[in-house]
Formats: sequence, C-alpha cells, structure tokens
Amino acid sequence: MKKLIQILPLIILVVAVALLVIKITSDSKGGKGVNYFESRALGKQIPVLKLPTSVDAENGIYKDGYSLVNVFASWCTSCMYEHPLFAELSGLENLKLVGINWRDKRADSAAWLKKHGNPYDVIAYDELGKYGISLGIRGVPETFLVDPEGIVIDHVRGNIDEGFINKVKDIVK
Amino acid sequence: MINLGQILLSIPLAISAIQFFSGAFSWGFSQQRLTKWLFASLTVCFAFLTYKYVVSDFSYLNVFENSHTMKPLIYKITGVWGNHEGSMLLFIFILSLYSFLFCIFSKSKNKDNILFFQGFASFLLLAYIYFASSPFEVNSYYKEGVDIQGLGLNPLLQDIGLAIHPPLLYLGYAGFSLCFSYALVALKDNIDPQIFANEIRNYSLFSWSFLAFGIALGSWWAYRELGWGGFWFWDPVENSSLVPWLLASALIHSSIYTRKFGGYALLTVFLSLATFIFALTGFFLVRSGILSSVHSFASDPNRGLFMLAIVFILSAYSMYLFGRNLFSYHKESNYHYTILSRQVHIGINVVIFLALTITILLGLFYPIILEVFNIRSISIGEPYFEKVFLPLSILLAVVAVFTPFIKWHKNKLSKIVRALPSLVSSIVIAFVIQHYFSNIGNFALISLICGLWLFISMLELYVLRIFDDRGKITRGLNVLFLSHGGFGLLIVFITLLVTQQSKVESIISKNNAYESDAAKIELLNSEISKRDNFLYQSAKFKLELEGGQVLELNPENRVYFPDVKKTYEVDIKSDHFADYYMVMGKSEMNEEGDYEFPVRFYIKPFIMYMWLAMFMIGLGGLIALIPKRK
Repeated sequence: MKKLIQILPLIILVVAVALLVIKITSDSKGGKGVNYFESRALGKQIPVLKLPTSVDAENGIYKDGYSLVNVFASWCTSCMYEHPLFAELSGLENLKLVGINWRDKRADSAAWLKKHGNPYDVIAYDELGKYGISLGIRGVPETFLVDPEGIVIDHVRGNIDEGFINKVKDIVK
Repeated sequence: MINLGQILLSIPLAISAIQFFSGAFSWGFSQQRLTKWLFASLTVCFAFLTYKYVVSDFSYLNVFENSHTMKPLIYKITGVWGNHEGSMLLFIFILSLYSFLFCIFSKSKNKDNILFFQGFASFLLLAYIYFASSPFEVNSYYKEGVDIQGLGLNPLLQDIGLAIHPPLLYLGYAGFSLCFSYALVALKDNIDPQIFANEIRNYSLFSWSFLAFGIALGSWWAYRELGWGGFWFWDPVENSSLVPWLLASALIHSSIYTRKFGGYALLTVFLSLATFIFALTGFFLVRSGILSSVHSFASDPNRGLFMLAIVFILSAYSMYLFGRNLFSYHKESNYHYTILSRQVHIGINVVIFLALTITILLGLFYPIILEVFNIRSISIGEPYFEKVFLPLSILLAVVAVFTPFIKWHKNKLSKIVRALPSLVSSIVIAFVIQHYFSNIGNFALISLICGLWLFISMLELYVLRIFDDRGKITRGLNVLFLSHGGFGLLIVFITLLVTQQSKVESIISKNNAYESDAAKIELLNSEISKRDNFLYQSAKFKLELEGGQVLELNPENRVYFPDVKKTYEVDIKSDHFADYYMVMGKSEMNEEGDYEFPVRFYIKPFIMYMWLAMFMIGLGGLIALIPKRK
C-alpha cells in the first residue's frame, strides 16, 4: 500500500501526459490539425468563370482535363513561398494551371510574375475579388483541384507543399 | 553558406550536455566553471541574433519573417522576442543568467548539485531550440545581392508594452528553475527542510514579483492594443501564466512555516517543483497548438511533442523523487500548534491557492479530456471562471485579513477580534458606495466589503504603528501593506470597474452625431496620411459627458507596411476617476461623400487604480527582499 502511494504521483503524471500525446497525434493525423478546415467548395461544381483572362478562353476555362486553380496576388508573401512548386506541374499534358490574380493590379502582377516566373496556362484577373469569394476563399493563397467534369476534388487553404504536388501528379496521370 | 548562428548555438548545447553527463556519470568537470561558460556562450548567441535584427540580415529566416528595415530600431530589437524561436532563446538566456548569478553569489553548500539540475534543464531546452525551433534557420528565398525585404513584425506587437512584457515574464518563469533544482537536490540528498526553505526564499519571492509584473503588463498591453476594451480575457495563455503564479503564491506562504519550524516540508518541496513544471507546461500548451489562443503563433504538433517530452522528463524525475521521499522527507519539530495558530492559517491559505490553481487547470484541461474521449467539444470561458474563481479570491482576501492577528504561539480570541472594527468600517463604506453608484448587486457588495476589509485592516495597522512611539515600521509590515493591502484594493477596483463601466456603440459621421443621456459624441474632423511604417486614418471626436465634462478623443486605424496588416489604435484619456477609451472600426464613405466611423466608446472607472493595485502586490515581493534592519 505504501509503495502504491509512493508511485501514485508518477502514475497520475503518466496518464496526463498520455492523454496529451493522444490529443496531439490524433489532431495531426485525423485531419483535425491546425490546418484543418471544412471546405465548402469540395465535391461541388466550381463556379463559372466570367473574368478577363490573359489568353482567349471562349469555350470556358475548366474544359479538357483537370485544372489546378491557384488564387494568388503580388502583395501576398505566402504566395512567394509556394510559387516555385507550380513550375513542376506546368508541363503536364492533362492539367491546366489556372491562376486567379486576386485583388491585385495587372501591372503589379505582371512584374511579380516576371520576377518569380509564370507557370500558369491561363491567368484570370479578379480585381474586385468577387470570384474568389464565390470560391469561398478566406485569404490568399488557396488552391483548388478541379476534375474534367468541373467538380472540385481537392482544396488547400494556405501554402501547398511537395506532398500536394505529388498527389496532383498521381491523380492527373 | 556557413550558418554561423547555428554553429554558435551548438556551443551552449555542447556545454550543457557536458554539464549534464559530467554530473550524471562523475566525469569530474567543474559545474561552476561550465555554468559560467554556458552563460557566456548563450550571451554570444543572443547578442548575435539581436545584431542580425539590428542590421536586418534577411539571410536568416527568423529575421526575414519578423523584421523589416523600415521598422524603428526599438522594434527591431524587441522583434527578437516577438516570435516563438527568438522568445525561446530569450528564455534559456535568462535561465542561464540565473544559474550564473546563483553560481557567483550563492553561499549554499549544495551549489554544485543545484547547478547540475540547472544544467540538465538547460540541456533539454537547448536541444529543443537547436533541433526543433532554431532562430538561426537559413532563409531559402534569400540570394546574395538580391534586394529583399523582411515580412515585418506583427504591428500589434510593435508596442512598448510588448517590448518589456516577455522579458519580465521570463524573469519570473526562469527564476523558478532555481527553486525547482534546489527541490530536486533537497529530495535527493535529504537536505534539512529548514535550510532548503531558507535558501529558496529570495529566488521564489523575486521570481514571483516579476511574474506578477509580467502578467499585469501583458494585461495592460491587451487593454491598450487589442481594442476590445477589456483587461483580462480568460484566454488559455493568460490562464497558463496564472497557474505558476498561483502555485508560487502558495509556495511563498507555505515556506514561511517550513523556514520557521520545518513544517509543511513536503508541501513546500512539491510547490517548488510544480511551479517551474507548470511554467514549462504553459509554453507547451500555447506553442503546441493544443489550445488555440492569441499567443499560439507557432503551433506545430512536432514541436508540441518535443516540448511535452521535456516537460515529461523533468516532471517524471521530480515525481519519482517526490514519491520516493513521500514518507521520509519531513522534520521533527518541537512546535505544537493549536487550531488557532499561524500554521493552520497558512494551511487554509495554501488550500485556497491550490483550489484556484485547480479551477484554472480544469478550465484548461477539461475540454481536452472530453475531446480525447470523443465525448463532445466544449469551450470554457468567462462565466465558469467568474463563478468559481472570483468567490474563491474573495475568500482568500478574508483569510488574509487575519494575518497580522494570528501568531505562532499563544493565540487568544480577544486579539483576533481586533480585526472586527475594520470590518464595521468597510461595511459602512461599502453601503455608502452602493448608495452613490448604481448597479451594485449582492455579490458585488460582498466583494466590496471583503476587499475593503483587507485594505482597511492593513491601513489601520500601518497608521497605528506610525503614531505608536515604540513601534517601528518593519519590513514585514511594509510587505503586508503592499501585497495584502494591494490585493484588497485590487478586488475593490475590479468590482467597481466591472459594475460601473459603460459603453456606447454608434456610427458617426460629419452630419450625424450620437446623442443620449449619457453622452454626446460628434465628429470634428478626420484625415488620412502616412507616418513611419504605416498609413493611417485618424478621426477627432468631441465628447460631452453626463456631468458636463468635455473631452476630445483621437482614435486611429493603421495599415502597416509591408504586409497590409491593420491595427485599430485606441485613444485613451484619463482623469482621476476613469479612463475614457475610444476605438473605431473601418470607415466607409456614405452617399454624401462623408466618412462614417463605427465607434465604440467606453468609460472605465478606476482602472488606473487597478493597475496600481497590481503593481503594489508585486512590489511587496521585492520589498521582502531588502535585508532586515538589525
């Protein structure tokens, strides 16, 4: 009995720490981590794009295969971080890279793309930010993967990473 | 590129590793010499990082993410600890400063063993900083010769309150490491409890005072900078800073008995351990993303696990030693207590402090426990804390009233009754206050009475001593008056503030003034311009208040470069009665082409006296450090 009482403080501590470990690991695995959010765009038809674009797209943007829609802006510093990653996807046959230039000036975005490279097949200029809002974005950057039927099948809020690039490559292949 | 910062950081890591292994396996290195080297090398690291901030060297990611060349110099320097990595470096730097000062000035016989545990804690924390949260990570976007700018410090943190809040807070947290290390040594080598309690007295008081200042300053910053008009939000970070402070308050009281007669030895040791462990737990809680809060600026589950591992190692060892000595660590003393004695009085006090601590810990951990077992997710906030925490604090004040009247020996009821006249006067004053101010309900009345009772009884004691020719104003009396009297005043002013504050919300433009019985607010003029590193729109309002008082307030909204971050700058004017506090939201142009400003205006009565009371409480701890006059 005396022994039991002596190790009691240690037991309580171990239980408490075990609970915290479960909490942290389940948060990061079960999708409920810091980056977890409930996307309202996922599984739905992507809104029709009626914006001025950099190249002619009479048949509509999201036709002929998959599209990766990246909302970016020249004033957005996080966009600078993820930007080089898109270059890896720019040659893919079955994927169209769509840049939505959000709440930005055309001259600024042109200068920005000249400095950091332009991986996009099409750029749409969302100067008033309305298209971004209809996509349900909360800030920039956000990225949507759209299948050939125009359904959003993936949605990243914030920076994309290598893992996402590989995932896109697998899906599009 | 050679990463000079990371190389510099590896030196203290190596020194603390040697310190740990040398102590654990008797390699024979001098703990004292290593402590001095550890401090010297950390000073170099900290100075190096500060220098990189001053010259805006954006090849370091930490500097790039948190600084900008356009920033005023003071905020370049304070930017060092305005982020997770830099603030951890500041923490370990201050901890090593304590070890260093202890090494030089302490005359303790157990110095080497204590320094060993200091080195152990430093080693764990440095490993965390080096491997998981280094401020010297290289910025991969940086290229030689390319002109790039930093992202800038969060404008909310560009404030004098934040410049000094973390250093003060860390002076508190890190100081408890000495109590912690000493407690481990005391358990391990079975040090006489009286010697132990005597030698940790100054460290615990000093750290306790600075933690109090740090918390008060954080609250003052939130009041001025966050613009929602409150001073305490029961936010997880605020709460987790309160936990070590409450435990330390219990510690400085229980150790009074341990010092005098060796009693409560286990309790004092336990509180010494728990205070530092919960200081580290606070870091873990808010930096791991397990709780979300305004301070969780580096939430990362891997870092969280690393921090948790450190807390676990230190606390597991502490609890192992504590359990082992559970039945053996005490001191026989010839002190015979009665129910009416200081020992019991201190005991009650400690129990209330522990109850307050548990209240907060429950609020912090209960939602986590529910979530782990998938029961449901809840959030615990103000109503819970106000219902549980406030009544206990008021009870604490009542217990504190009797401090000067209860002695160790030979207590007579007739002496204790001396606390009653001040009760009568405080009841009278409380009723007068209730008569003149509206909105004072029963609970507020009781807290007013209790707070006043504590303050008036201390004041009475003080004044009587001044007029007593034979009596001297002792250190103890000063401490009682400041810390306990300050606590009484704090309760009084918080009660008055909460019941008497008022708020006006309205949209005001040039042709559209606000008018009610309480106040008339009109817009005088507004301007948009540029200053330092931000654009701003400021508006000047003229206010006519109920009592015929007229004042002008000038709130401002800023957009900081380069990151388009917005802040809402409140304007506060004070007189001897209240703060007049105004903040405005984003302005919009109306059809006539005038700006419309959504404004919130608060009258915060007595709030500056509340800060003063907080300051008094902390000051008492510092006065207690002045050597006694012989």
